[in-house]
Amino acid sequence: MKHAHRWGVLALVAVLAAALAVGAAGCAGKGPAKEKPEQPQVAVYISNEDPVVYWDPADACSNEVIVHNEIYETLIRYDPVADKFEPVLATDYSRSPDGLEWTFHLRKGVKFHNTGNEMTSEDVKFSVERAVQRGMGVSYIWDPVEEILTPDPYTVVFKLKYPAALDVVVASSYGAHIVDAKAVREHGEDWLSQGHEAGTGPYMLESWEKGGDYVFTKFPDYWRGWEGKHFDKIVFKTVPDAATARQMMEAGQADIAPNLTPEQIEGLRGKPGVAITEAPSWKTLVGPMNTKKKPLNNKLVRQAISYAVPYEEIVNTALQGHAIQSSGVIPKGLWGHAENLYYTTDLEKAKELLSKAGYPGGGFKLVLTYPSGADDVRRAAELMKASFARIGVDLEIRAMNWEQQWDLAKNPDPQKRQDILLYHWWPAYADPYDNLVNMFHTEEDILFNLAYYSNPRVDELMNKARETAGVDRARAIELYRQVQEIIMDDAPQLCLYDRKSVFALRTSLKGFRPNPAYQDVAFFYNCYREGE
Amino acid sequence: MTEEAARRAGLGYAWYLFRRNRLTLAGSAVVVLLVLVALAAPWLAPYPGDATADVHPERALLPPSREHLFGTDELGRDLFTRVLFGSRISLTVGVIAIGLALLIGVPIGLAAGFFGGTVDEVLMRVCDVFMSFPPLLLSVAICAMLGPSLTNVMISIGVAWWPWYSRLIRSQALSVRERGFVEAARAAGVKPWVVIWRHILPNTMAPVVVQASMDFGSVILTAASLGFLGMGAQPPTPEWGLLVSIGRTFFLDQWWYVTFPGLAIFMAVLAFNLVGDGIREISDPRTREA
Amino acid sequence: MRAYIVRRLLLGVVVLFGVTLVTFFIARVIPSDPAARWVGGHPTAEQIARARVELGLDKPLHIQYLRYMGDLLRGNWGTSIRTHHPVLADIRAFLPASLELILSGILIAAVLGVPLGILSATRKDALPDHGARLVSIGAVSIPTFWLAMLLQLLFFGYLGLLPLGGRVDTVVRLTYPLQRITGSYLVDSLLTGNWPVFTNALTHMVLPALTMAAYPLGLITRMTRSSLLEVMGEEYIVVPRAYGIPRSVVYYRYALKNALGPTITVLGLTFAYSLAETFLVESVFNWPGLGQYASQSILSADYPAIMGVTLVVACTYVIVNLVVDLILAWLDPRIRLEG
Repeated sequence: MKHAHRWGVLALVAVLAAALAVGAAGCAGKGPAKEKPEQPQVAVYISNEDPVVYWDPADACSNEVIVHNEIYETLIRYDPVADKFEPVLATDYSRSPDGLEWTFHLRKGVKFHNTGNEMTSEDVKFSVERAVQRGMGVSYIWDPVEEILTPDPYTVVFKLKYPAALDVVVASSYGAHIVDAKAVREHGEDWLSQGHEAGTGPYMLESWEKGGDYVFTKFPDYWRGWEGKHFDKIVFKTVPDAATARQMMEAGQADIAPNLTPEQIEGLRGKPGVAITEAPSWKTLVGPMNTKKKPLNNKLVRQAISYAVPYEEIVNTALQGHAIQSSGVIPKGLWGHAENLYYTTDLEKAKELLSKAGYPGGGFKLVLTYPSGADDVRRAAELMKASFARIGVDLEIRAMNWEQQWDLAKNPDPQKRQDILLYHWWPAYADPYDNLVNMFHTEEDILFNLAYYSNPRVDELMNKARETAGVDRARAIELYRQVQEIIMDDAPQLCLYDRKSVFALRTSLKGFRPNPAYQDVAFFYNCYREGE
Repeated sequence: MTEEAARRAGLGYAWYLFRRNRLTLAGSAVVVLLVLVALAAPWLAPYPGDATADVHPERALLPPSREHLFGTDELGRDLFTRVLFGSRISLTVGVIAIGLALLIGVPIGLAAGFFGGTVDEVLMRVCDVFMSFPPLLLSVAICAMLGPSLTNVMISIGVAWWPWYSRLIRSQALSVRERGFVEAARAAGVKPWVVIWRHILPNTMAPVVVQASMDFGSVILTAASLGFLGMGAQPPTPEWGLLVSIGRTFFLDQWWYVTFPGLAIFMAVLAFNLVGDGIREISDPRTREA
Repeated sequence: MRAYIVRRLLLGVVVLFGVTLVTFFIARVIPSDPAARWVGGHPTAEQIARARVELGLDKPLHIQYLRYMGDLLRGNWGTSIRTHHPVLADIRAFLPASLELILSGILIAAVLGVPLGILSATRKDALPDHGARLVSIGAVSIPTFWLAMLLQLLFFGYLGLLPLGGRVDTVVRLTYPLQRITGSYLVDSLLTGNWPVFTNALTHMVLPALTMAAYPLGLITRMTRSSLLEVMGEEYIVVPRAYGIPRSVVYYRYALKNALGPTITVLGLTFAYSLAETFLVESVFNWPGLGQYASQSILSADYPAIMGVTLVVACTYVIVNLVVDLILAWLDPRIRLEG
């Protein structure tokens, strides 16, 4: 009796729930929010992974770039298209003739979030020294700096060990943000990591939820002011699945989505209210080869493999045209890039080289790993497999998550490492040295030189280039060209493609200008909504 | 002789019940078909090369047509071919994973049932522990630690599945143990392992085989789920779960990409489960008579 | 009764103990270098050496296990390699969304499954029975991740009725801030009378909850059917029927009461199964729960997180089973006496 009664209640609840569901479904299209007038101007950015892992800007080295560049600022900002630096927290700067002393004049009246403290040279010195001292993220970019002087509150002087290009370091998208020294000192060293911020940027942290929304609201005392059209709030949403992200764009639930897969972009093209914007990026797909293990320890075999990669097919089919074949090891658009320095797909030549190397008709097997979840890379690998089969090379492809594949590549025993691994590389700051030193400089303990390449001549040339870049960039570019010619001939690494950044945007979002030096950053202060 | 006749009559009655249930019959037809398809895949498939290494970028993502019954994938491979070849993988994984579970589970169950006492108590608590993990969860955890591969999928499913067989065979062994011929053998001083091997094992296997055949559907589903999570076969292997996982990027524009591999999983699992359910109905007198 | 409870509790503790043994084994003994996996990322040689000491990998296995247990009990479940937060804190943050989804799914399953089971039992071997059997077997056979996509294709892609994924629209949530009480958006918005969020969250809930309902629906239907068939011949069913009390009344009042025990058992079982099922469903619906946390952890080889989730789900399973058994004992004196 009692139980039957309980079932009745349950049924009632269910019917109610169902009725509500149907009713709600009916009005879902309209969206109840539109009835309220005081709705804030919100911009929604879709990220395929959690936007912030490291809240501390000194530690960040990954996706954080999209958030940190909204809440923090650097002294200057680099525009690689015009090859110019824009003043931000510094109004101007100068460099001594020997390139060893750089002086920055700071903007007056810049306030930090929450505390209202004014930004001074003390904060700059503190931020840089703190980044170096923590030694996380990309702190190595400050290597050229010998010491930092603060003659007065609005002047900072960097003394260098060698004439490096400090402007690109100061403008770095990571590791060069200025934090509120007083706030950090007051709250302690780990306060920022615990999910706080102390920046000068246009937006300040309101709330964040793991795996959910990261909400930022405008900083009323921002030094540029809030005249004109701007967003009140910006929201970063974590949407790992590209199909969902694409649908949110189509339904107008999000304003900007970088990193959609090529097929999702193509699916969105021509949909009402959605615009597709292409921009160059410095992201390249590289395939370091195991130069310490047979048969790839033979330069001729590596060259043969380089000739067997179906570059055009990969760009057109796997990437649906969202990339261009790489030339050299420095991406197009970054100074130091070398034109006309690439392998073409030439299977006859590849076979010839294999015979010369003592492998007529191929007849060996190679293991290639790629990061799981990266669909475009998987397709590239499958296309390589089909092409290599035609020169008699059996390619086994294995998806591994990034950590596993990296661990495997760093195995102290070269015989245990994979033969080829594929991954995306992009420089942390606008300096070709970043690519060269990480991937091709002789390394005692392997970190990113995953081809285990070692060539004293290459080491020497790239270091010379770095040390002249601060005073004579033309000479540095010439040296970088020489380095790349040697590397391409030695072929320790497959250079597959430079990815284009393709953004899906709502057409109502105006003012967005992608900058390859700040991968995927929206700079929402410049954006506003018009129409819709 | 009379015993034999009774057994025959029983079998005949079971077969009658089995046949009477049209759903079960339909399920068994699909199972037979599936096995035939798996065996004959290289001859049935219109483009056998597409199952592994071939790519044809010029005919990527074509909708279903007479040339490509299930359409093509993003590298221009025929999905019909790939789904056909996928049946081989699913059936192989099913057979080996269950085989492995039996290999672990049967000896443990026999030991527990035959020796009883502390041995029984300890082994059954171990079973309890393993049964405290939903099978998918345990497989996921093991696969994550071993790394993604088809072999590891089979191992992880085998490890997650054995306690069910141990339980079953233990209860069978308990009842067989008390029967005359076992007691006689033991009294005659035959070694325990010989008794288990000669007398207990043959008399306990029937229900285990029935149970194993009923589990086939769940095992295929678990394997496909692991494939979907990216922990199973690696591309370009045409494993069904992996096909659905890859096709997910395309499913709103190219509906056929996830639909057919998913349908294949569904049909295969459904067929095995219908057969399993039919067998259960027959072997359970309560539901049979009411 | 008390003896039974004590025995059952003791057994539960033993099993929980065993569960930690298994996870210990998977986490520390199977991998070739557990320390490197524990640190994750790009560990330096010193980091690995430190982790080795921290995990006690230089000690014999039983000492390692004791240390592992000690860490678990102190709430030190390691740090997620991907999110850099303590695993336990992550799980606490993601669990409410999953629980909301699972309970909604089971509710739908019960509401549909019980009548279907009754129909099946009362019209045994007739067309409705075959239909119900097909539904119940189909529901446990369908790959949930595939069902999820089919539902999205239909209700979002073609009909445009329901959202594709997520828990609530961003703009709605920002316009009508939700006070966090239980962590369930539906319950919290209901308690605070936040209607816009409630209706919006409800539309987001429909498809994932329906998907999650499939497996429990199959089990509940079958269990209702078989337990009804079992009691159908009993006197307390036959007699009232003979007195002319309508069939529906008899079944709902008397027969179902008897089927309550098995139904509770099945609910306990499906709860644990659903927890594992979220691994497959949440990522499709972009549902920020434990399942999505787990599937992303799998992709990024986040071992501490994977093992944390495994442990939580297994322990939940054991505890739910324990609770189910205790409820059954309370409902049915026969079990108590047997115990």
